[in-house]
Amino acid sequence: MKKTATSSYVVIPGSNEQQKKNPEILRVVLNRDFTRIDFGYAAPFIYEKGGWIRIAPYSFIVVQGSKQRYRLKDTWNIPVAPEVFKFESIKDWKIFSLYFEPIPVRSCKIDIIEEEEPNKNDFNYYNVVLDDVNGYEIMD
Amino acid sequence: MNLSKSAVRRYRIIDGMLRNSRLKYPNMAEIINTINAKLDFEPSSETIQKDIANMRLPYPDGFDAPINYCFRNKGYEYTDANYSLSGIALRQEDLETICEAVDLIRCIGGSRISEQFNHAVEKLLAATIESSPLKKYSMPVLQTMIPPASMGMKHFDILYEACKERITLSMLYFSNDNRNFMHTFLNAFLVKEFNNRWYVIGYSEKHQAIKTFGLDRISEPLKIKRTYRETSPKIIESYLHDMYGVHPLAAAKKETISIYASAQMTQDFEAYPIHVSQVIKKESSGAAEITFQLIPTKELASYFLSKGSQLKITGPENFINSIQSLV
Repeated sequence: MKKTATSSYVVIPGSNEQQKKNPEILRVVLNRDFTRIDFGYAAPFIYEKGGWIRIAPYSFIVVQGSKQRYRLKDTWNIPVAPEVFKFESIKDWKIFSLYFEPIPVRSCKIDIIEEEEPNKNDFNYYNVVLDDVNGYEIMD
Repeated sequence: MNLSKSAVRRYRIIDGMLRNSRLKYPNMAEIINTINAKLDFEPSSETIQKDIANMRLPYPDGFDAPINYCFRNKGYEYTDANYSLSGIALRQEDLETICEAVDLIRCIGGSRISEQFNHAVEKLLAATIESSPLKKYSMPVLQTMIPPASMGMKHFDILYEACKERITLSMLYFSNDNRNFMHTFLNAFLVKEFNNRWYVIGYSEKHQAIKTFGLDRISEPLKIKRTYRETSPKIIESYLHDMYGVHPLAAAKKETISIYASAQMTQDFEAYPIHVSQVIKKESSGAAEITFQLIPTKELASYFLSKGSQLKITGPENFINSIQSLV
């Protein structure tokens, strides 16, 4: 199948304890315009109404072996701090996407960083394995 | 030929009159009166004669309309009974039948289906509906329960296309039962409605099995360029015809399912059969043994359980055991 510079690819991150956190990394979309990461978040029972969710505007991706930061460009279905989305119950759930500057389309490990000195509420993920990056091309 | 909008409207009316099998051979006065009634404008007989001449002109200047003046019947006619200005030979009775069917489909199809259907029907009838008196009838005389659009219907088009064009989807899903998320590559073959809920069914590569997914819990499906994994037509047939519901029980296969129903419940089954395979063997009391040739499903089990003491499942044994584990 012919690959083009404008192709987009679906990558399913390799199994990793970090990815099984809540929010869970479900899928990565790579192309030359952006890197999109799809997450699933199930409202936790520890908060009376499921708590709230948001993403810091200065979140970024780092490809391991490089110091370059790929910054957050856009989001879907999650507000950017200081805005928050408040769940209504502990049974609620949400799928959301973060759009970052495009990382190279090649096999690599990435870190997704919301806070460089994170607390338990921050979304930081390390050693997210992206393999077979050209395996699943998205149709136009 | 440069056609004005009003000329086209007159052509359509003349075409409709010439195809009306109940009022054949319209004469000049009738054509003028009909146009006057529909367009609120009285054309001269010269205008109508010119219109007929234009309609007779060969394509592309005209419409190749085989219009003849019948001296015996003192009116105009199409010499080819199958001719239509639009290329679709719809007679008045065809129009009525289609409009009745459209009303029925709009009724049972709900808002999502009828939106696309309306578009197709409007195209089909565009050339003739304008001259049809049926347009006046806008108030429905048939109504079924149409629930508001549900979550997940925004993905209906891509799921339908994936089934029709055999395209693999990358799909995110949330399981309410397990409260977990997953990604799968889905080779979908059927979008199915059951009890006002919509599902997509296909071979899930994550599960290595055929699975059913509720549309309300599907997110962000993406079409993927890869070889679609075909499902055997026999399996698709079973989902189409041999199930009450959409979630077959584990290792379930088509078999005879039998129940014993009270007299009251039997009347319900008689009035509202749940499957074409339903067979009722009634006793003198009115109670009955009822059998079905079905693949056991969660929905069938739930339906039977919802009837309480009015109904007892008598076989097969594995279905009874499965139901007990569901309770």
